[in-house]
Amino acid sequence: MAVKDLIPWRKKRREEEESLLPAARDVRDMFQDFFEDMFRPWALMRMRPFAEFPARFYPDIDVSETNKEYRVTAELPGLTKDDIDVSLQEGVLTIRGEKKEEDREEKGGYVRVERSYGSFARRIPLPSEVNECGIEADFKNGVLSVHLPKTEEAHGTRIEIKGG
Amino acid sequence: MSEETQVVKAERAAPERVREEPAFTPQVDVVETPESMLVLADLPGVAKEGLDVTQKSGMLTIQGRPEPEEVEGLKLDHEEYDVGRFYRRFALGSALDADNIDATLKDGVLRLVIPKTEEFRPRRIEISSG
Repeated sequence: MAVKDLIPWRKKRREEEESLLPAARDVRDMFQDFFEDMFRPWALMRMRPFAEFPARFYPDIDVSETNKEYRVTAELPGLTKDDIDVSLQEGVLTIRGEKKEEDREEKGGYVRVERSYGSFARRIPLPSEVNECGIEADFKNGVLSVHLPKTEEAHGTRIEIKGG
Repeated sequence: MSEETQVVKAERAAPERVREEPAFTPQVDVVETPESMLVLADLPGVAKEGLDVTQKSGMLTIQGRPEPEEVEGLKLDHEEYDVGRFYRRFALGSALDADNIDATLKDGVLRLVIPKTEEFRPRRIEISSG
């Protein structure tokens, strides 16, 4: 630790400066992602309505894809399979659940609370090329993964070039 | 760009220099009961094999590594969380019995029960009738 870190006002200023950079990066990423993802249905999912309320559980979601499938994963530590409800309606995948606070009632006496609890619903609009019949979901070690196979057309077909 | 801004940027570009790789800090709840301290840590994606809880000279260290999953040609479309090592350390203090910690991992949550030492536990005093 540098000596100047021990001077309170000095440290405070440095923290403010540090916070500027990630914000600037976010804006840059936002523009970049906007143009890259413009035609992706989850482009608007970046808006997180409850992000300002850390007391409420709002799971983080990743969406990835291979040639064969889309894959939605969500971090749901502390939930069991029975606490989670995954449904699909009109091309929107909804993940619902509740993170329960089992130890509060039985014990009390919180010293530190960083984890968040409560019910949530996350809606993920799916691209049209998803085969809705083949969707599978599994839950392991607090992570939910939903596998959404792409339709045959989405795999792409190779076009033969005929010789003249 | 001012000189100071550049310094900050350089620090950010190389996080956690002390350790071999960047680590995430798991979110933790700590509950005190009359007999023990209960620590609940969220470690999504970590299986028992990837978890390491150690106690040495009054410091409790939690390290977890999510199960690696390598899928060929997997491309990330939308990212809200990153996967990586979890790391956190706590000082236990003399009121806690560090040698008898009970640890269980279930559905991505580590639950540690750290008993208080005998002298810090409530003791019921027998009243003898005269």
